Amino acid sequence: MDINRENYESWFLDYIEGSLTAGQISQVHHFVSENPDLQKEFSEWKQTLLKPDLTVVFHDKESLKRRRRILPIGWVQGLGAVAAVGLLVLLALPLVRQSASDMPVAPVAEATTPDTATQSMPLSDPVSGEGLSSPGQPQVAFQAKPQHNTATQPTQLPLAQEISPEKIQKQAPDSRGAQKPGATVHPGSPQPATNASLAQSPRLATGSSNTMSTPDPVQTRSAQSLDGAATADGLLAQANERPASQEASASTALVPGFFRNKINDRLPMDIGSLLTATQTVTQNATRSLAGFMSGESEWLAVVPRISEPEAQRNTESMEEARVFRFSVGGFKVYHRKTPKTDS
Amino acid sequence: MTVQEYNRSVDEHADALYRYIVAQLRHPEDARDLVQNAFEVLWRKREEVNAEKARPYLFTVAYRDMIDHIRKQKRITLVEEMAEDGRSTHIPYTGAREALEKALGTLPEVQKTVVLLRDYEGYDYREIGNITGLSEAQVKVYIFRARKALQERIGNVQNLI
Repeated sequence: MDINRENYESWFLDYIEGSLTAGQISQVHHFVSENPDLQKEFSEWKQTLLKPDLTVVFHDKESLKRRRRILPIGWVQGLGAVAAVGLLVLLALPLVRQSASDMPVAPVAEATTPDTATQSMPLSDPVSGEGLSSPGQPQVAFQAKPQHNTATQPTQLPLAQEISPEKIQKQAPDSRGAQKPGATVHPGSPQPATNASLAQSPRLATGSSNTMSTPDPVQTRSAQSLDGAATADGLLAQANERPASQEASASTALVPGFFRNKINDRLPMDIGSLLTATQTVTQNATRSLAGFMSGESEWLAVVPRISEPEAQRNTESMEEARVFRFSVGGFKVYHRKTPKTDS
Repeated sequence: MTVQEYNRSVDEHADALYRYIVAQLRHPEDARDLVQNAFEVLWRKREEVNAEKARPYLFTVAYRDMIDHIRKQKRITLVEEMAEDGRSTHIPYTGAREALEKALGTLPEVQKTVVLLRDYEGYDYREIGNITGLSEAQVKVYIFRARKALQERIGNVQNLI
């Protein structure tokens, strides 16, 4: 339908709405030119187009914006609490235990029970760990190996010095077999470790196997065990003369299960892994703290991982002494079970 | 919609939304409140709203809030009253523009809304219908009535001058 005086308003509307074709626009212009009385109205229609005032702006846009999404408050609080507890535990233990570390160094290499030696250390290290496991007398971890050396403490192991290395090499296998029947232990001796405990401690077993290739510890311990087996009466008499706190020197500590779950040395890359690792550390530290408070275990050292070569070098001797470690962030925590004593 | 997309929507749409509401209500403070509320709703619904649909979503929310606001407040503020309000950011209208603004203020809200959405935002009839809940035919009718009314008002003012 063409534009006329009856419908021109809808044409004017479509004109200003921009919905007309070029031909229809020409029709409108022609119609207005032919109807001068509608030119003013056509101009008024065109003025009805509203134009926004660009000077009107919303000034406070920053108040509308949001920051990046953060963790829910519960997560933050939980993570912070877990991290704080874990950190406090790890930092407090060495300090609290420092007073105990001031105590005199324990006599080394006490007699052990043959059962304990045979079952827990099938590679023939019957006295393994005994030298470091004097109850109630914590030692610095890196001092563990020297204390195995009977030559450094001749007065504490007089019988061990009476046996030559050659004799030890020759008699050591027999001594292991001979120790089983002689499983009579004085009342203060600790309970023997089980095979299960060995299975729980692959590092311990490895450390023991390494010990076999190391002359000094093997000979020393063999000498001690041989000495203990050959002179059981004399050793028993010696043990009976010592205080009760020193009697339970044979280490039968089981490897704590949570130490087998070694923490990844690398820091987790995502928050989920970080939370999981933190919770694991906290659980381990809490359980260890419980053991520490009950006297079942003792902490030896917290060593920065930057000294990893040194720590690694000492690991073997520490494992021989049944000293265990795990990593916490940039530190390695060395921990040892305190041997149980019979009440 | 991500946080970044939401913040980008603030930069891109806040001014236009504010102008639309100011032109509708003639009250800058109320317009500011409605803009803030519209973006608050957008933030709460950001998981459901695509960034491309943020602008019409904001206008839809603002339109509905504005209708409720108008019904509750029954506030009609003239341009002169806004000029007396120190918070106003408007440049004083003069001549035909002032007459047009005055004429716009006299329109029914629905007519004012559709013509503002059409001229300020460039929405087509379908998009205006989505925002206002009207059909395309209704939108076109309201736009025609609005422009006809404006044309008559402009003609009357020019006749007085």
